[in-house]
Amino acid sequence: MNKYLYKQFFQNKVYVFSLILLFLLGIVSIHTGVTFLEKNNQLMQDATEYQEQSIQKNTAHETHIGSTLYYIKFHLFNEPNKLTALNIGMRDFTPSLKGVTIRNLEEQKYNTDFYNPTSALAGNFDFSFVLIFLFPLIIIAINFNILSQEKESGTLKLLSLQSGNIKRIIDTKLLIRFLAIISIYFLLLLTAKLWIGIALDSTFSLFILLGFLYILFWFVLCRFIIASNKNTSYNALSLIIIWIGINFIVPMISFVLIQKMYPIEEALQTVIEQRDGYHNKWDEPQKNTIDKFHNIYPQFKTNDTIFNNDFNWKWYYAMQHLADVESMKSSIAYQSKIKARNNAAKLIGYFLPSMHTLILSSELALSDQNNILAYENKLKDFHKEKRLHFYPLIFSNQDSTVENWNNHKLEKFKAQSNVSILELLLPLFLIITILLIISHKKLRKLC
Amino acid sequence: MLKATNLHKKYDNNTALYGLNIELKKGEVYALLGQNGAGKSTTINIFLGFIKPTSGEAFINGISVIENPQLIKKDIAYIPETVMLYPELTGIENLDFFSKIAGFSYTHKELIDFLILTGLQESAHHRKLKEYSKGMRQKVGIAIAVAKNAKVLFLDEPTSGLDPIATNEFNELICKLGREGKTIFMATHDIFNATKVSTKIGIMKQGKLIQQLDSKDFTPDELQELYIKTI
Repeated sequence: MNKYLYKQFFQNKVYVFSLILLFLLGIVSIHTGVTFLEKNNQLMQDATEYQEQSIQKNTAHETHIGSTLYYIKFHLFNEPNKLTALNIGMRDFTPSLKGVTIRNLEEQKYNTDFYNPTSALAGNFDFSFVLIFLFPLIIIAINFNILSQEKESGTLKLLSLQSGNIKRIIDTKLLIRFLAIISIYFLLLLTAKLWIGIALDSTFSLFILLGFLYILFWFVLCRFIIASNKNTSYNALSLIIIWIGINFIVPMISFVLIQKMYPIEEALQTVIEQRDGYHNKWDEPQKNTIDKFHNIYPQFKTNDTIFNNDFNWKWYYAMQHLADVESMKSSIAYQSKIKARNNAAKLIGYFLPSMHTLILSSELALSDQNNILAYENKLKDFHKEKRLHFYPLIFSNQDSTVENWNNHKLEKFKAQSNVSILELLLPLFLIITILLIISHKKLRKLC
Repeated sequence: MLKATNLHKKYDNNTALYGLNIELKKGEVYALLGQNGAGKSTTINIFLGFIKPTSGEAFINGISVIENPQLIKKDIAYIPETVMLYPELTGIENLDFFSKIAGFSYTHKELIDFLILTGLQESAHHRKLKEYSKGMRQKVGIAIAVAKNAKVLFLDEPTSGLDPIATNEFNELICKLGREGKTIFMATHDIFNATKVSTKIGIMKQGKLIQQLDSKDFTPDELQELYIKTI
């Protein structure tokens, strides 16, 4: 029986064309990812060279180290993993490289390389885009009329009388289509693995499993709709409406609600506070500023400088740091709101397979909001480390020659994804099981 | 082999069947005559298990169609007015596919024999169904029914649209199947063929079985006269 069902499927030129198209689009998406990784590698190399050249240039003359450090930027690279090529996610519009001086951090966080926002309008055509949006379309296209076509072409009665079990025939047809789609999926992943060199570790395995379950979800959903035994146009329309609803309408409404639930005024507030904190200090007596600084860092207290409002580097860096301190509360509040938004999106994702797949695949690929927050935190630590390294030199009025600048190379940060298998599997597994049970009952009525 | 007891079928305000009573023995060929909308197809669909009667009972081989619609499927076959099969598969592939889903796995030679039995010329066996005439598709439909080894065959307007030669071949095949012990229930408009192939004839009007006759007692002309008077 299966031989003929296979033959019928592969004799349909539209189906075969759809599969080939899906594969080609998948290849294009992998190419997008490869290009993204190459750009990032290039960026890292350029930044390494830039930092070396900048240090050379700024340390060529003997001067107060405070003056040298005014200009030198230290770079921290948010290293993507190979899997990021398959889900570029938020890295699309957040830089993977930030360079900071030891002056106030909050202002520099957002002073990044020039980026043309219009290039982000269409989003990135990465593998996750193909998986989340295009795979379901093809799945709908090859499944929506599995039963209705038999009914409308007049073969259903004969099938029903001959087999006595329409459910078995529908499931066999679905299985054939599932095998065809899943073969394309694995073929694309194999191509990605070989092309990009992704290691078959637990992260990649979870990524594969997530996509597998997502594809399975769409097949089970199609089975659920098919089992209603309605006509072809009803099935097609229902599935397309669900596709639009799940992928666009519900997520958009959810994001609006999340934004309303967690308004982030702190972003602007942080900038204002750090600017005020910094600019106002130019008009305040230096003594006030340096005392506040020494309350935080008493180890840098010295008696060799008179703070009489003439410019000096000790006061300057104290003032810079206090700007960060004054905006710290807002900065922390901003981060916690972003986390809350992210958690709310995750929660909604438990009921929306496309959102769940998108969020978790981004987490696995280190291209999600958590990765950005982790990178920001690391940047903060990195900045602090540099500050505390140079403060003793600044506060003892050293010149730039005392430092071994060769030790200051570009540094890399690589986050670890913390996706648990339960968190990944459970929502999809539950939705798939519920749909299977309901469609099973509906199909039994047909037999 | 086939029995209907006081079958009623109502669709909202329309009554399609009024207390239908029919009984057929093994090997009998029954032709149900009647105008369009008389209730012939409704009767067949109840026996096939596609429609539930409003009241009454229907049995095939002693098994209730209403209570065991799945169980009776192995004993019955259906050949509609236009046999719809898979156009991209060949005649022999269609036969093989529909036999396999019925649980029968035949050798290539056995499949050929079934098609030859129905009179389908050998040159057509490996041609795609989309190239077949209506008569050729009917023959594949009968081959599927025979290969299933069904005890009861339901035919709905089987000779409608067939040319005289194809009709004649079809009639011979039905008679042969009847002689082999198949019970055949046929809804038709064709009075001439009904007298030629059937052992019993029923005339339906507006959901009621008006007349039940033995075919051998009537010539086609006499039956036509009676039919016109009755209708």
